[in-house]
Amino acid sequence: MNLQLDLHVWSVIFSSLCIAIGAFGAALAQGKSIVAALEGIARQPQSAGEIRTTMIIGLALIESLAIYCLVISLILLFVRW
Amino acid sequence: MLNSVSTAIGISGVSYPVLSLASAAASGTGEVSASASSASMIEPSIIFNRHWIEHTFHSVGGHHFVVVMMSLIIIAALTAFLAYCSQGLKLRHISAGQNFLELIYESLDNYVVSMMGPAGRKFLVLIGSLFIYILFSNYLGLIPGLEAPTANLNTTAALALVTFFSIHYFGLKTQGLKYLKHFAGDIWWLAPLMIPIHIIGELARPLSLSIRLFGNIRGEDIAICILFFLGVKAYFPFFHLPMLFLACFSCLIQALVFTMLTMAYISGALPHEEHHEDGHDDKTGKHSH
Repeated sequence: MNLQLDLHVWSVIFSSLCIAIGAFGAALAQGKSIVAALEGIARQPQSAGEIRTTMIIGLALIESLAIYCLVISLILLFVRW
Repeated sequence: MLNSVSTAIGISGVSYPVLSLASAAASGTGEVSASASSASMIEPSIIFNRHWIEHTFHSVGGHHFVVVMMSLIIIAALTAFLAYCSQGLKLRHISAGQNFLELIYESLDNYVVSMMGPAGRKFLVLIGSLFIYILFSNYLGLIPGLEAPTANLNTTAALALVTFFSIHYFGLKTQGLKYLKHFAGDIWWLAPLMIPIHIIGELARPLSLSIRLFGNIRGEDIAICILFFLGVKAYFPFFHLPMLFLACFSCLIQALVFTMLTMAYISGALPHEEHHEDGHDDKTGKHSH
């Protein structure tokens, strides 16, 4: 096993770890925000539209963190080291 | 930096020793070498490497011809469709095409007004064109043989820069120099701290907008492609169908999210009327007392 192969192996391992941890955190956060939004809609169904738009914006902002992890893992996988 | 990163993730100039290594290990050939290339494994160059259009139009000087051509396909198709539908506009006895265009316009108008209020109607042109372009470019990636222009960081960065400059243009146009004052924050002696924070926050907006759109669309396309080739290897090429349905939904969501965030940023830069409403409430409170 030369040094270059080691680098590839490490990059595979850490890119999968990166997307796994990032997806874990983002899934927890999105679940919490959706729970809160659903409770709000169930209490006040007349304000469902505003809650939905705000929730989607928040979900997008949370999801961007997971997407950063995806981009980092793609860079780790595919950039010529 | 942007170009180098997008070159690394994008279409050209990428090497895939890692993927071929991983797929060689998965297919059980046992021989792990950096230049492993056996006929049995998934050819990664089909998934990620040079596109068939780029084989015919060689990329010159680091330009991404595939993305430009896909954008041109969308622009040409939309222009032809709109030119066909907007022939002979009438006030009554309207044609089917005009009816369809009015449906699209009305729903976009409702969407913009529901987010920004009636004052946001003048941004309908910007928001609507961004929405339609992003939606169609997301959906273009689902057609086999074509590629989504938004699956490249260059396209999404261009769209995000349009948003970035329009935010500050409209902010400066409507508020004048008062717009620059809000960078300093409310407390004057915290201004040396708040100005860099606000500037970094403003610069993070186009970054997150572009990387979100790019990562979502690219990740979806890669997932669909990997599932499809997995199905081809198993003589059952329908593994990617659930992912395709998910992608049909998620493409719409990403276009919605991009335009929604654009509207939120622009309406944040406009002068807001909260002080006026507060004063009004105070007056009515005094009257009731």
